[in-house]
Amino acid sequence: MKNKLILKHVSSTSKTLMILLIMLLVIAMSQGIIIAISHVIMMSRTRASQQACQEPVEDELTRIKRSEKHFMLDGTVHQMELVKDDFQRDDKKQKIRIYDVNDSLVWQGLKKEIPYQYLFWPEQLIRNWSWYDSYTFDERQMHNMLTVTPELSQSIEFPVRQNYEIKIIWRYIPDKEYFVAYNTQGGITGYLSTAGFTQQKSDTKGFGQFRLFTAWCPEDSINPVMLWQTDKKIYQIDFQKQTVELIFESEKEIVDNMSLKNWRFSDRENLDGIKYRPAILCRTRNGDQNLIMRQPEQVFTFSPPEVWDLKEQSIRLTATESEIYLLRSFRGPRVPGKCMNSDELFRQWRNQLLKKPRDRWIELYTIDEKGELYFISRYEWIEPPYKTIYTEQSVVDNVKYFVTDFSPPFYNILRQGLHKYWPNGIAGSENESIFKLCVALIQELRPRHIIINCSISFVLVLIALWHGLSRRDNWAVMIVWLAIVAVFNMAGFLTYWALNHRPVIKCPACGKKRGLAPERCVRCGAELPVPETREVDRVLIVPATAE
Amino acid sequence: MKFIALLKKELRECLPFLIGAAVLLLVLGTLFLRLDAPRTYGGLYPDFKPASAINIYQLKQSSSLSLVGSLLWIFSIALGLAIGIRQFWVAFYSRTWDFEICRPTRRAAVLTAKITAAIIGFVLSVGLVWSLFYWYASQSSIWFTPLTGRLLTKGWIFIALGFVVYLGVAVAGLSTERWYTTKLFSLGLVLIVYIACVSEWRLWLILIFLVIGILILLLQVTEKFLNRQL
Repeated sequence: MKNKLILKHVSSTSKTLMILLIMLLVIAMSQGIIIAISHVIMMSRTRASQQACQEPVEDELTRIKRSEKHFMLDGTVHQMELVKDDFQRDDKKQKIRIYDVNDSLVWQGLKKEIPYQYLFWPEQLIRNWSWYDSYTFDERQMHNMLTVTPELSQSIEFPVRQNYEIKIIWRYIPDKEYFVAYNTQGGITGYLSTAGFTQQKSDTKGFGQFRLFTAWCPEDSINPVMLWQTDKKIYQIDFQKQTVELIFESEKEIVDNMSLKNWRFSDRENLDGIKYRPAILCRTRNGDQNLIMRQPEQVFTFSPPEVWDLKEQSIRLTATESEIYLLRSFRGPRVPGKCMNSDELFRQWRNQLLKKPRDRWIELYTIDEKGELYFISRYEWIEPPYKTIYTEQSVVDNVKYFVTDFSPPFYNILRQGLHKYWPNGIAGSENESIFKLCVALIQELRPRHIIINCSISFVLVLIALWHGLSRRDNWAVMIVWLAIVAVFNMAGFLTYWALNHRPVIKCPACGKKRGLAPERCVRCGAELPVPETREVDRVLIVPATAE
Repeated sequence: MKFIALLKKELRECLPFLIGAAVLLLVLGTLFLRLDAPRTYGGLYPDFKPASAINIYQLKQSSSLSLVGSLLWIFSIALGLAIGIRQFWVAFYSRTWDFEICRPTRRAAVLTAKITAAIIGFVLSVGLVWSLFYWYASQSSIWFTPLTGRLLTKGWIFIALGFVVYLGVAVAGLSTERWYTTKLFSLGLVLIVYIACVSEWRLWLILIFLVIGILILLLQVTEKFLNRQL
């Protein structure tokens, strides 16, 4: 009997949990669908109004805004404008116009025939979302590869070939964080790890938490070489030579991103232009820019002055054969702290900003080996105000605010906790999977109007109380249900309703409504009335042989 | 003895589904494995030329069992649905529920026989065939690189997901609620467990999701089966 009671309680708890989970999901899906529908409706309205308007004539400020700004070695700035309606897949075949700082046209023609030598900057390795056309591979892609999909199992394998015939396959083992070499018979021939090439598994040392890699074939080989970035280190691995070279190590800070210039092979921009040193530019989380150079080997670390606000400005470095150059550009004012936690304040701030002309500038410096900066040139321009501040976002936001009033109030508390855990936001977090989905849902669907949200919770608690007064088994259970409704809002109420909606009858003793589940009336304590014995009951009770 | 008899009866009832799943998986899997076999390393890496960046897509290699994996995924879910419906839905439609529960043994033994039959069915039907495929592909792999142990585990995760589907169908079948209220909610939980498992790469977390899902559903199956009247 005791076991049966325990089973009943545990089972009903698990059922409540199951229904609550599903209700939370149903509410989240409904909210998402309503927001998406409002977005689609507003987008179509905006498009229709845009088509009704005459195409605005592009003014000079807009052209300057759209142009790429390039420095020459002496600090001269040119604006490079892509000729509209001349999209070419090969960017060298694109037609361009070049203007000087006085906005006078100085040259126009094909991009590959530019007569000027501009400074080019390392290109950042970023994840390409396209699954079939990607030259970098990061930890998210690695995680996706390891998930339990119907395709079951994929691995990253690097071939080593001789005369285009495969001799060795190097496979990355994610659990162990090293590479294993297999010969054509499937036998293991060695391992590559931070310990270099080893023949024994016991001699290996894992690379550490993987972040990103890119691979290429050098100018003199058909076998891959790769840059392998972990939390604080960057390795270069040559599979043909079976070497692992540590090319950068940050003692304390995590490496945020990595950009390459001429590192893999000569970049196209400088075939007959400025001679660049092969370099990797990597930024650590504290804002330091580390330039790892070759010919000769050198690592140069630049710590930006404290007065440079790195939330408003960006920095890039590049190294020619004679100098190290620094490009500092102003991206726009930082978001005020008070707007960070309020979508409404952020939207107001952004709209105010877009309505006004905005200052922009770029500066070019050289840096000596001690880190001293030497100013060369600066170019300033003004970005025009937006002619139309589209209001569709605010309408969508209003719909979002309305539907999220039915979200659980505790989402806000959870979000604050998550913000503490992941200060860079979900986009910057390393965690994927169902947790990421949950965190994204919580961030997106958290209630914005705290008072309205709590009021709805309160009203739902009152409705549940009114509904449950006659149906309750006992007060303790009723209070737990009211707490669930208060905490989970609409999802809690629907769960309560799904599990507690039973028919009620009029108590013959006190005349008030009472549920059928409890044996005694919750108000007067009278037992459930026993139905009168009918003719048919007697037939069943009395055996047929009694006749 | 009574339990063995009950178990035999449950296995006998599910036998067509078990044999069907095993044979179809074996035949189609072998076909797919043979179709997949002509792939060799010879035709790969055409773009690996001097001074060229490597498209990462070319470095990703699927195992020779990837197509069999897709089949296993389908068959596990289908088997879960079939056994669940056979054991917990048909009795109500054919009005044989009274005979199911009114036996000279405890209801718990009847339920244990049903669940044990389902587990044995999953293991012997799709589980055994999957392990055979893994063993065969490991023995005769035309790839340089051997199959990983993780691959075998992933296959068994699919089979466990099939068992979760079975429990979800069982809870829905035993539920006395109307279909448009909470009767089918257990299948919603199955969907949540499935999404959680296929979006996760850490095996230990997948195991936790599976255990939680199975526990929630198993408790409800037990409670509903022991207390359900007509």
